[in-house]
Amino acid sequence: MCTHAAIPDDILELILVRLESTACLIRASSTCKRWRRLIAGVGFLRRFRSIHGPPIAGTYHDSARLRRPAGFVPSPSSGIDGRHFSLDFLPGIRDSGSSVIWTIKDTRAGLVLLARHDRRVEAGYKQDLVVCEPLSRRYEIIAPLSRSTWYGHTNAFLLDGDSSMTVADGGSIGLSNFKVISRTAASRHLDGTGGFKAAVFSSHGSSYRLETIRIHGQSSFRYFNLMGHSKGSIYWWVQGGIVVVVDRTTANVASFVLRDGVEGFDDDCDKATIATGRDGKARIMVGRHYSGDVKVFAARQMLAAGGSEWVLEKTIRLHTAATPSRQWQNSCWRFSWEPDCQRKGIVFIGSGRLFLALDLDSETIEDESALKLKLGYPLELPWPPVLRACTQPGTDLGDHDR
Amino acid sequence: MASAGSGDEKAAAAAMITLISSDNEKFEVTEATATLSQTIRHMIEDGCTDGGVPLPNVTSKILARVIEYCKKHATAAAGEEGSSSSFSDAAFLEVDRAFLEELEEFDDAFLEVDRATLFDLILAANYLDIKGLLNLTCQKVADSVKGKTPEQIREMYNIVNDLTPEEEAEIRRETQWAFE
Repeated sequence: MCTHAAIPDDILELILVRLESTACLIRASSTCKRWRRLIAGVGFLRRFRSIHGPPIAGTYHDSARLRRPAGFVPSPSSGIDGRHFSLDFLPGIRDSGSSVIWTIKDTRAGLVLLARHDRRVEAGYKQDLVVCEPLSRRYEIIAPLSRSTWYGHTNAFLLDGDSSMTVADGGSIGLSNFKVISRTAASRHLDGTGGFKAAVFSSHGSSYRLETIRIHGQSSFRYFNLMGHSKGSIYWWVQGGIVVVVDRTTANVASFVLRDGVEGFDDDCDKATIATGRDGKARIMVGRHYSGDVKVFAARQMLAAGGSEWVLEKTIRLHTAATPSRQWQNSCWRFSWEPDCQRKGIVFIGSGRLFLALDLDSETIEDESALKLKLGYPLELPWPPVLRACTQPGTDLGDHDR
Repeated sequence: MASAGSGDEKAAAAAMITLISSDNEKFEVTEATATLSQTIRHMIEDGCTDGGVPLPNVTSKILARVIEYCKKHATAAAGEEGSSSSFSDAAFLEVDRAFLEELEEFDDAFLEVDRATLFDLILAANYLDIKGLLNLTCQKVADSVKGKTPEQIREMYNIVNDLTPEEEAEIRRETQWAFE
């Protein structure tokens, strides 16, 4: 009888690389030593990841302030039990009643970043950030930058840790290797230039580092707002077409100016956000409240300079866009950026109680109020998967392809 | 189109190749069918197919199945070329869609074999370098493992468990979530 023993390693890899999920891969890796050795190979894991993409475990759904642990809904293809992702292990999250408020700030890979606000007098109204890894039920508390730090309305994001610790293609982030960017602000300097300040916490060294980048030609920063994140970068709209970008892999902070198409931008009612186009590349969306115009900017490579430049790709007129919903008044609207931005080519718009999806290509608007309930903070499974037990020292993760 | 199309078909039909299985059975196939195999395509290009192509790694039982697959998919490839070059209206797209559905049904039925045959088909597809068949058969094995425990996988594929109970316990400890 022909069994798997007659199948050479390279063909067995062709079969294993087609396994449906990471959970399936781990179960297959514990059938025998040969399968485990093949699956633990760095080259194999790289191919598996390039075919299957990031291993999405599911989504945390309670983005509002938490007095109870946030609900987790596993993704249907992950093949795992949602209770492994309960946040009930966080200190005091079960029994603190209404005196401690938890807010999910961000997720990245298998980590969740939460702000904790202890409103008890004896705790001194303490506020801090907590980074946790739900799967291993471990957490790290990050002391506040200062006593007066208020995280309630501050953006805080997880960034990758030390890049020298990168293994396979999984990026370098884990509970022992991460960074957090928080307490971002823009300010004016005495010499008339402006600056963007960000506090970056590194788990290596356990301290904050203040990053400032100077933005010339600006005398004031009255307006400063988060646009969202896309393709591994976080975007802020500072003022008058200035965009600040933080790379979530390298923690580099940079800025650029949108030149054409943002004339007369009104900081009080016009809005800017970020989306991912159908081609998988980032798009900057600048929305004019009264005219209902949405300008879409795309990055264009400049061959001569070697950099890229953001150029106006198209203008979408919301007032004339095709829409099936009669309730859409198109008089009062705003962009509604979602961390769970899995859908390419879509930007979400909130208008009253309506939650609408604007398709950037067809320029049509769909009512997605039902989808709104499903959006949340996506969480990935650890990658590469932990396959330490019973793998030969020579095939240990991270030893090859450095 | 009638004269050019039928002329090509006649030329293709005229070129026949003889494949010889490990148990010495001879199979006459068209060149279009045979060249789905990259291995045979290279032999034809090198002009070494006179007197038949011996395939010492493939039994007549498996070779018959492989030829069945190649015949179906060679027709599909020819059909696609014909319609895309000559027609583009909705009626022909509809025909294409129906044809693809039929092809999918054929593939599903083709894969209804026992596991030993499935592995033999994988080995033959690899040896003959038939990409489509290799993908199809490997995916079938991968799908069969979906949702199965390590014990069930071992049982399905006669895998000898060479892990000690201690090693198994250690594996479960480090990735408990994948086993529940």
